[in-house]
Amino acid sequence: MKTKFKIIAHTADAALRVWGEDWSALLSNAAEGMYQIIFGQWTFICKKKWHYSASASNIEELLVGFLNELNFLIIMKQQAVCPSFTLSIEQKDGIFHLLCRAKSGPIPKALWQDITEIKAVTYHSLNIVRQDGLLTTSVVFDL
Amino acid sequence: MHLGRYKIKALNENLFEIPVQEDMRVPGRIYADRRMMDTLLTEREPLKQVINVAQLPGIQRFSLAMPDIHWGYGFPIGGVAATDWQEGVISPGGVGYDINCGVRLAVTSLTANEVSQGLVKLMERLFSIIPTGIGSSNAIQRLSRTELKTLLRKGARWALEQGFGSAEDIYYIEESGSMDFADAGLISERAIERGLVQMGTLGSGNHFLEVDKVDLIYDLKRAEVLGLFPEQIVLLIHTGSRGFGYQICDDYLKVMSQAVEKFAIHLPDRQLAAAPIQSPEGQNYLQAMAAAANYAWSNRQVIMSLANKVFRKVFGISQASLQLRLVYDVSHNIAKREEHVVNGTLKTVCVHRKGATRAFPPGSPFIPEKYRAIGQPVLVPGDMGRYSFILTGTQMALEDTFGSSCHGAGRLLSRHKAKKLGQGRDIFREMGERGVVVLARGRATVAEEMPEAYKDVADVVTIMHNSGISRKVARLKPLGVIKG
Repeated sequence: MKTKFKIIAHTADAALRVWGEDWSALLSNAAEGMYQIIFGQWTFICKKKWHYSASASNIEELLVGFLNELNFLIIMKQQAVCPSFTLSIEQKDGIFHLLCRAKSGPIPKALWQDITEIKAVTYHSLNIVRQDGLLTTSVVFDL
Repeated sequence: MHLGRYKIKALNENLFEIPVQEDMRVPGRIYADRRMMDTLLTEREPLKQVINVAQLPGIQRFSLAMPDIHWGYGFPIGGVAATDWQEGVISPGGVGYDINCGVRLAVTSLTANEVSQGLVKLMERLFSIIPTGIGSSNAIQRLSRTELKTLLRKGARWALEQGFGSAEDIYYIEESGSMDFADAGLISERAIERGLVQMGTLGSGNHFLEVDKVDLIYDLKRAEVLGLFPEQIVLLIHTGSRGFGYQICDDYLKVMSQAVEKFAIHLPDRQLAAAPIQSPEGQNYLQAMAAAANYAWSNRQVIMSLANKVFRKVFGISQASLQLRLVYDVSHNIAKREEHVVNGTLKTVCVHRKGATRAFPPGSPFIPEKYRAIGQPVLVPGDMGRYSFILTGTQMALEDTFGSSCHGAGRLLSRHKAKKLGQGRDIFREMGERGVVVLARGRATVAEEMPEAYKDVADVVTIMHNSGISRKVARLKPLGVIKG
C-alpha cells in the first residue's frame, strides 16, 4: 500500500507530509493525517450527515479551508467525521470547487483529555507539487 | 559568522547584526548571547525569518529578534518590526494567530505561608470555575450576538460593566484594555460563533493560570511601586483571544494572500502575506485585529475576576482583606500605531510585536501615572516548574527596539519530543515533588509543557537586563498551575 501521509516532528507544532494520486486523494489523506495527530488511532460511530462545499482560486487554499472546517467541527461541535467519505474536486474557469459528503458522530468524552488541539492549519511550507507521479505537500499545524 | 550566504557580526556580547544583503531593506538585529546564537545558527529557520521580515515594504531601522526567538509562522516568535504608517505594510504573520495573547499579573495581600494549607483546594476551585483545554467554553453565560458586538467595541470596559473587576483595573491594562477603532462588522460569522462561548476561558497549549509567590526581589524601589513584597502570593494569567482571534487571523490570511497579488508585493514567505496599511485590506485587518484584541483583554479581565471570587471564598476573606489588585496586563501578539524616532525624526509606524512585549520607559505618557517613575511593567513567564520574571521598560528599549522586550522562555523541545520524553513518567507527581500543584484537562498538554521542554527564562531576561532593554525587578516561583 502506498504511503498516504507521514507525521513529522516540528519545533513548536506538528506537521504532515502528504501524498495522493489526485487532488481528492491528497485532501482525503491530509484529513486522515490530521485526525491521527488529533486523536491517535480511534474510530467513531457516525450517523449524522455532514456536507461541506467550498471554492477557492488555488488548491492550497482549498486544502487549508477543508482541514480547518474539519477542525472547527471537532472543537466547536465536538463531532468527528468518519473516514468513509466522498470528496470530489473540480476545476472550472480557474476556480477549484470541492464537495464533501460524509457522516459525523460525537467524540466520546473519555477521549477528550487525550486529544491534541490543532489551533490552525497554516500555509507554511504548503506547496502542492507532483513528484514521482504523485501529488505531495507538507502541511504544518499550529498547536 | 555566516548563515548560508548571509554574514552575521557581533555588535557586543548580547547583540548580533545581519547587515543589509540581497533583498533585505534593513539590517536584522538579534539579542542573544554567543551560546544562543550558536543554537540559532544550527536551527537556521528563526534567523532566516529575521532576514525575511527585513524584506517587508516600509520596514524601518531593523528587523528585530528578542532572545526568546524561535521559529514562527512568517515572523519568528520574539520578532519585532515597525513599518511606515503611510508607505508600509501590515502582516497578520507579524501579530500571530492568537491575537493579543498576553499576560496579566495581580497581587494579593496573602503570603505563601498563609495559603499553604488551602493551596490544593484553591487550585481545584480555580480549575473547576475557569474552563481550560480544547474547545473550553461557558465560563460565563453564553453571550448574545449583540452583547458580543458591544464587547468587541469596548474590550475590558465591557467586562467591568458586567461586574468583572474594579473600575481602576482599566488604568493597568495596555491601551486601557480597548482599541476604539475595532469594527465587528468586519468579522466572519464563523469567528462570531467561536466568540460567543469562549469568554472567560483559558484554552489549551501554553496558556495557564498560575498562583505564584514572589521569590526574589532584584530592585526594591521598583518592586515597592508595583506593590510587590517577598513571599507575596500573586496571580499570573496567560491567554489570548481564543478561537475568535485564530479565526480572524485565518480569515485575513486569505484576504492578505490576494492583496499580495493585487499590490504586487514581493515576499519571501507566503505566511508573511501583507497589505499596505492604508489599503482597504490593511485597514480592515487592523479593525478586525482590534476587535480580537478587545476580546482578549476582556477575557483576561473576566478570568481575573472569577479567580478573585475563588480566592475570597476559599480563604473566607473579604476583598478589603485580600486586596487582589491588577498590577499590569501586557499584550505580546499585536500590531500598534506608535510614534518612534527614526533617523532623528519622529515618525508614525505600525509596530508588529509577535511574541514580544511593549517595554516603554519611565516618563512615557502611555503607561499608568503610578509607574511613570519606574517604567512599564514587562511580564515574562517561564515554564511551570521554575520561575517567571517581572521587569520594567527602559529608555534604551524605546531607542533601540521600538520600545519592546522579550515575552517568555521559548521552546527547547518539540511537543512531539516532549511527549516522548514524558512517556512512562507521572509529570503531575514530579511537579508535586517540586512543590507545584498542577491541574490540567489534557494529559498530553502536561507532558508537552514540562519544564524540560522550555529554555531557561532566566537566560532570556538576563540578556534583556544586561543589554539595558529592560530591568529585572522580581522573580516569581509557581506554587499552583492550571494548564489547558
